[in-house]
Amino acid sequence: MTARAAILSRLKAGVFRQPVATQAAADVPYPLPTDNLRAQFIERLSETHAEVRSCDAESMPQAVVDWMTDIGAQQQWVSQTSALGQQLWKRKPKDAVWVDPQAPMDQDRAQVFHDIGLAVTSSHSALFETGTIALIPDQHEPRTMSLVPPIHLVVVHLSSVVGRFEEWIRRYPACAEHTNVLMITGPSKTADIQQTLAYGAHGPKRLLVMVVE
Amino acid sequence: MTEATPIRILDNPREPSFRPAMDYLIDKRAQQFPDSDDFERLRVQSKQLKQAALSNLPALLEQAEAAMVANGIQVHWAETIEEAQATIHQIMLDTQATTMVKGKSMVSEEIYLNHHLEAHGLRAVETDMGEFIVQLAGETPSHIIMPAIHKSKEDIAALFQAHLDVPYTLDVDELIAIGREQLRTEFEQAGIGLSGVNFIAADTGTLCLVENEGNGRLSTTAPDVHVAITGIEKVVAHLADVPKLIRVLTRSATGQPITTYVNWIHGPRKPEERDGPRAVHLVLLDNGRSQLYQKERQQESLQCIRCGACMNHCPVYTRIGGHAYNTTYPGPIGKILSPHLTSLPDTPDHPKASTLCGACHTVCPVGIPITDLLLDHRAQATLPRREQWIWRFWSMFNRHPRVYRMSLGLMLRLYPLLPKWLGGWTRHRAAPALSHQSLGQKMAARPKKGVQSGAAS
Repeated sequence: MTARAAILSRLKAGVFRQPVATQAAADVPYPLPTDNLRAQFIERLSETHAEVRSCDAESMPQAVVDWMTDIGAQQQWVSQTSALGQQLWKRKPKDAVWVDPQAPMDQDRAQVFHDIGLAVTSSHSALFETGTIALIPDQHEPRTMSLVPPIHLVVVHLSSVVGRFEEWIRRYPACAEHTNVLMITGPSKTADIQQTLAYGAHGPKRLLVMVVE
Repeated sequence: MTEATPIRILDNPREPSFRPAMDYLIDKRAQQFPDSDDFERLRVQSKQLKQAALSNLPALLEQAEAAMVANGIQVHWAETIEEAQATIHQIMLDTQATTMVKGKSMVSEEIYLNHHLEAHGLRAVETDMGEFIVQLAGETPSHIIMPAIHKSKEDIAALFQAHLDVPYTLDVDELIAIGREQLRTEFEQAGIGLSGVNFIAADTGTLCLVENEGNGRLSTTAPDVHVAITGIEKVVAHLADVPKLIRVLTRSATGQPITTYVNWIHGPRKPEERDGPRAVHLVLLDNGRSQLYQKERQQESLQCIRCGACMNHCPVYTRIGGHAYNTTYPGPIGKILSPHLTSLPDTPDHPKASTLCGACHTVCPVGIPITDLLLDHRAQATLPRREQWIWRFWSMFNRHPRVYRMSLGLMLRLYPLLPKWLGGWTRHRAAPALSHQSLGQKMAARPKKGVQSGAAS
């Protein structure tokens, strides 16, 4: 008998006590704030230790480029094929070193791990309750972009903000068709040394969020 | 393994007290559940989700397997730890990788994976900061969420200085930066990565991982091959159940409303994608779980989502620390789980090492009646003959008031004849002094009072 068959036959021989037939606790609705969503969402993001700026849709590409310039990283990852990336590349400052991520893990990994100072990505949506940003990486913005460089700048549209996780999954069941889905809340962190919180454990040390109204 | 493992009290003056660390975690969790009615509602919800999944476990496992295979994940089943070790070892040989980067996985600890790979000339590198520290020290995790909770900043500074050739520093940011740099080189070079799994959604075949550091993401993104390993009890019916369980998991574990990363993996990279592993494997480990599944009541320990809150709130754990249990899973949940995991030695002392205060049950986010299950273990334990006789006498005395009073009176009178040396107890303490009067005598000697003042005293 294979391990699979043996395990399944033992499980089928057992009976797990049926759940108590009490009413399953229903989800409490979690409506978005109706007044000044932008300010409140920015507050939630700041609580996660993210750095936040905001702009309107029209000024977005330039506002992102300006922020990148302020940071002044040596080499920066900007996708040449994503919708956001294309808008940014049109405004690339002459002296900035921008690189398309290509296939980041199949090339010189030393460069990827040590030389790229910042990456810019778009986002899929966000959760208001926890200040969480949902990313669905694809061939235009591979997942390494939001993971390996020490600074991650992400653009979030206010119109994509959902109340909380439980509603998000109801609204986007098709997320299961993507290889990888990520929910990101603040910069990488750890409290493994004497419960002292430190940022930049393995992922980005800084998370910059551009909120677009 | 048949040799029994006793509770082993560590007498290490360098081992700092667990009290401040536990208070920190207790406080952070409490802040996330300010309203006890709200917590109760969430807990009933989570418990029902887990119980519903477990009551349909074989079908859900088959459904999850079909969904994962359709997504391109290779599913392996392992009945024993040897099978799990061999499966992962073979995947590693096929990949021709010599180093494995590991995200945090207690199931990999349960199968002694690092030890097995090293015995075959392969390297396994722990990349979670706590696990990395513990591995450098040649130890095992003392807590399932905070593996290095028994280490002070000074211990870690000395450890890094000795093993990593870096200057001694007590700055936590610097220590973390040292770990980060050290492990980046490993991520750069590793050909295979391993991770645990927090939840598997049967309907979509999703592997869900929660973490804060990013090492879990790196282990499942950078190498060409990703191996996930988990116990068969981690399957839930619907992807939509997962956010509800994460809500109680991260709040109970570290007092966070959500972890930095919630990572959903649906398979290897597609042809058009530019990163991510080219192959994804999942090892489903039994190791006694299916036998436990057949045991009425005890089976409820399979509901566990591994948040560690029962450890944080346990007065015994706080006093003795995780290593004292000598099992992969320490603390209250470890006491009821370990006896069923066949790879582990017998743990006859463990059910007794509890005050039955019930704190573990009170905070458990999936409502496992840990104290009741401990009592079951105690009831089923075969006691040594001498102890059986002692309890038989005790029971007899208590059922016969006259015998009881007579022997008590005798005891009080003969007490001065007892030796002053009472084994381990008197090595550091004075022998307990016995009252000259029994409680019954004292009560009888009391002047009669009103009921109210009597109740208040």
